[in-house]
Amino acid sequence: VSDRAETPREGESLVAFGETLLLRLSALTRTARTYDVSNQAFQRQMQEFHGVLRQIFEVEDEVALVMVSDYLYLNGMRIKGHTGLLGAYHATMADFERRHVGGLRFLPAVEPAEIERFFQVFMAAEDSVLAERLPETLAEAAIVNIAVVPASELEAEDLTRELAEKPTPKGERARARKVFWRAVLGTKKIVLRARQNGRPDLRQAKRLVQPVVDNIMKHEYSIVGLTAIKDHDEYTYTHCVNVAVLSISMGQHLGLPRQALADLGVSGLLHDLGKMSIPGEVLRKPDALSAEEWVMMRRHPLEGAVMIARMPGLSTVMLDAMRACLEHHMNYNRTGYPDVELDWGQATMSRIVAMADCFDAITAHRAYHKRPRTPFEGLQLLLGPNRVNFDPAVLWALVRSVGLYPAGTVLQTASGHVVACISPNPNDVTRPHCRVLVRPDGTSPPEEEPEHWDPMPEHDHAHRVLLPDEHKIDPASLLAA
Amino acid sequence: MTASARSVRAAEAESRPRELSDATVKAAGGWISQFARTLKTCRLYDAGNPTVVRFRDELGAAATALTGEHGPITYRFEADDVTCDGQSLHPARSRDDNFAYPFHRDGVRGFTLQPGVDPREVGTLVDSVLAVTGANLDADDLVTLLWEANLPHVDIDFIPAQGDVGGDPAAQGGGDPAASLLPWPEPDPDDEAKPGDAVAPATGGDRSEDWLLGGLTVEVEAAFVELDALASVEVGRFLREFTEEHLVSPIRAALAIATACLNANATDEDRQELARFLPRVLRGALSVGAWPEALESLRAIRGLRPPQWSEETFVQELMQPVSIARVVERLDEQEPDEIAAYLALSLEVGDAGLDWITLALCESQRRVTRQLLAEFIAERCRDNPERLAPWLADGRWYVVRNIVHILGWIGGPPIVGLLQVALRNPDTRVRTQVVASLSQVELRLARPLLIRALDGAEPRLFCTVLGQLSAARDPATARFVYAFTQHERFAQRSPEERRAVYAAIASVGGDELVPELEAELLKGNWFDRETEIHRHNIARCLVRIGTPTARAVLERATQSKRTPVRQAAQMALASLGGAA
Repeated sequence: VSDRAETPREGESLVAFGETLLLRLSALTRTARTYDVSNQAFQRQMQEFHGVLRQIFEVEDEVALVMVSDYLYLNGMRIKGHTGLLGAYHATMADFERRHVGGLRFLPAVEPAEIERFFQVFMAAEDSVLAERLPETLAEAAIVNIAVVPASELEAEDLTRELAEKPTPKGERARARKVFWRAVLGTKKIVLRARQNGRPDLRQAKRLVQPVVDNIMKHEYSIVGLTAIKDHDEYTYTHCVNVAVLSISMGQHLGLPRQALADLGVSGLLHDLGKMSIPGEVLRKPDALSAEEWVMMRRHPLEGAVMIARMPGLSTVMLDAMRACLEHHMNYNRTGYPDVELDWGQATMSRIVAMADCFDAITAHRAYHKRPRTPFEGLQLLLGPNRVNFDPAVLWALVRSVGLYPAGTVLQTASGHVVACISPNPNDVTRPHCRVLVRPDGTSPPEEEPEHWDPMPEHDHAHRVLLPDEHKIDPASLLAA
Repeated sequence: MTASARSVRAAEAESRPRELSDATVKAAGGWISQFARTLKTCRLYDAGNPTVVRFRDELGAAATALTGEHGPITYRFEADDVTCDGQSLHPARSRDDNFAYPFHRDGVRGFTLQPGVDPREVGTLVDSVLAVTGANLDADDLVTLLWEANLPHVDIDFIPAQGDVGGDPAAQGGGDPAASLLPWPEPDPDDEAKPGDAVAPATGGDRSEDWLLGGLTVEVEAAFVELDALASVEVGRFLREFTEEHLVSPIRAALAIATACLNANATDEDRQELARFLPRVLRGALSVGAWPEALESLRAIRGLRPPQWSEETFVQELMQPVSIARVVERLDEQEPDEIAAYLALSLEVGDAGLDWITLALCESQRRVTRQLLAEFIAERCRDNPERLAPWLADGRWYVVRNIVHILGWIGGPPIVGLLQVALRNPDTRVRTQVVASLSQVELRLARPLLIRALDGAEPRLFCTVLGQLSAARDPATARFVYAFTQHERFAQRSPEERRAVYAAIASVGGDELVPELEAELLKGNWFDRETEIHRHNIARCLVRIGTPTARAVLERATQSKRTPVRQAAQMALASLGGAA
């Protein structure tokens, strides 16, 4: 499968259809997971989905949505994973992976009744034993206009393996994206389950951070770059994952052992659980908080610690997470909250989580900011008078992790290039991995063949960081691509 | 799996080009069967069992040999089978006999043994599988265990953790389930910056969700240079602090965190939540022998007065044999100061704490531990030894003996009644201890019990009792002891017993017994050798009684016409002279 040469019009329409189809498919599978197919909610989603299929059939002979090497393609045209689409993108990929399918093929004669039957079978195939029999079961259910594309067919060229074996920056970024979005989706599950059960699922949290640790232990820092995406549709979860990723990376720079990095990741993932108890209107309030609201806000560390205390056992990871919850706003100089009225210092892991939390929160796209602070502005803030709130070793580790020009920063180099920083370079904090946006002659590399600096060449260096109002670039889209 | 699915799989396997030789697959199958057998053996027997040790050693050696001879071997796990190169190696025989199941259930889809695999790595693999096939409701899954084990020559292929959201009853109309559930921040589209909006610079001094921020600095590069210059020192300091923190036991850490939470303006609701957490800390502390932490936890729990906490249930838990065994195991490896902490905890437990330490005393295998526990019990019961009375009815002889021993330390009149009960114990070892403990009681009070202890006593105890009875003259006792000499089977007693009887007569007897002793001295005939020995012993008794009357009897006997009588008296008096 490769990017098909299309006329601009055809390509554009397929891209638009691809996004819509993906969103509808994702909504439909999500609904099917909760409701029976006879339920009105499912029926409504199915009609929407069928409507999109019909639109595509007006211009295409079939609808083939397939997954190859971390990307989804609609009839051979890659669906680009911009920030608003990432949740649906990765949820669909996860659904395919769990059922060992490479994609779905719909034929024009497909009717709602057949889609309904298909989803019954498809959802049941979450069980791996049933997944193995999915094609046979579809045939038994007389589903002829929807077919699953076996994953093996799409791996004929062994693309995935090739990417895994060759440590090319492109392959590394693909792996990082996969790990990152799986972690976001997994965190969503943890948070929702915690909401239902009153306690988080530690097993799941551990499983989510293990691949992140593996990535970072292999010095693959693309995943750190992904923390700059700031997906506001999934803020709750991306923030947790960002804090986990940044914490793990900082821990690695500080020389913590592998197991401690995993524990640190879990602490990062769970650090803000206590916010589930704060009213949404307080969290979303665009203005300054009143004294009463601050009291509420200041309770979330304790709420989180108490929630973790409900988890079974007394493992080190659980206690680290409990402590990180309680202490992540205490500050290194003990000026934060809550005040525990004791001779109590912030634990080392809590200091890391606090640093990561602060950096991610201040650069988040939040309702009370006209525009989000750039990661570079975030660093400016932390390295300014606020630095007394943080352990200097941890602050150093943050800069080592994200670089002096963190992912998402747009800067002009001494050579006159305008580049977007994509991921940090662990060997030189001043020379990140970049994507060239504008060349000195004013031309831009074609979007299909982006020009990457892995990392910024030694003969060049950052000349000036551009503020968002100096360019019209959405760095998050570049990071997500 | 259905038969058709199996046949499909078999057909697929046949059509796929083979990469490994038959010999390799056969060897791989042999190893996996050995693995399965080892697991079964490990589940049946203790870890120290010689068969278990041998099986594990052989499995590790076999893995090294297998990979050394055939190179890397990859096993794949399906729901009910283990395969290698597409060949079925170990299909499930039943639901309960499914080797592949725990791997597949936890998401492990395969592993590759690489050349150089160490038997210790294989051992860890075995331990991990055992851990997830036991009662591990809240423990880690196999993927996490193997990830944490970080085995260099065992590559694990696992599926990622499921990252979907399902089963959310709150989600309506297929919308985002999170939206209706979470009060976490959601972006307000109206407030988001539009492309054409005037951009307000993000200056400091405002809040960012839960962070209050100060002003900016512009020189990021310069600030970092400054940080970087100090990094080696600061990172070193950070790592030292990290190491020190992680030297603290989880129990101590849990308790400290709970205490900090309680001090963080905790509401009543928080306090109740933490009151549910603290019993776990308490139990954890008890299981590892962290007595000071257990004491602190118990006090904290009592301070919170949680409704679900029951002292009675807690005490019942403490008294369970398995709990006692664990406590004793810890105590028997602890230093005296740690045992002292345990004793302090027992005081906090209250009255039942005494029974708790008594049970520990009964089970302890170490002398130092027993000594410290017993001394503490004695001290605690000094004013009320009756508190130990229930233990005297215990069916285990060693328990009763320990209690009798402690009663001996307490001593005094109050223990006499208790020792009287213990004296009825059928076990000689208990009765021997009773006699020993009676030495701590005034003889006047102990005498009736000692005399009763002579009944049916084995020789050693018999001698001991007589020894104790000999501590002071007592006419009644003297007659009682003398009566032994008149028993028809007295001569059949052991020499030690007979010696003890004569010694006792000499010690406790007085003038009141002299007439009987004189008669004994004079009786007998020429041919009875046993009588002569008895005569000599009686003469010696008279010498030791030593009163003028007794001496007069002996003087008269020296004038006897019967040579044996005369000789006995003369020798006895001579011994007196010699002694003088």
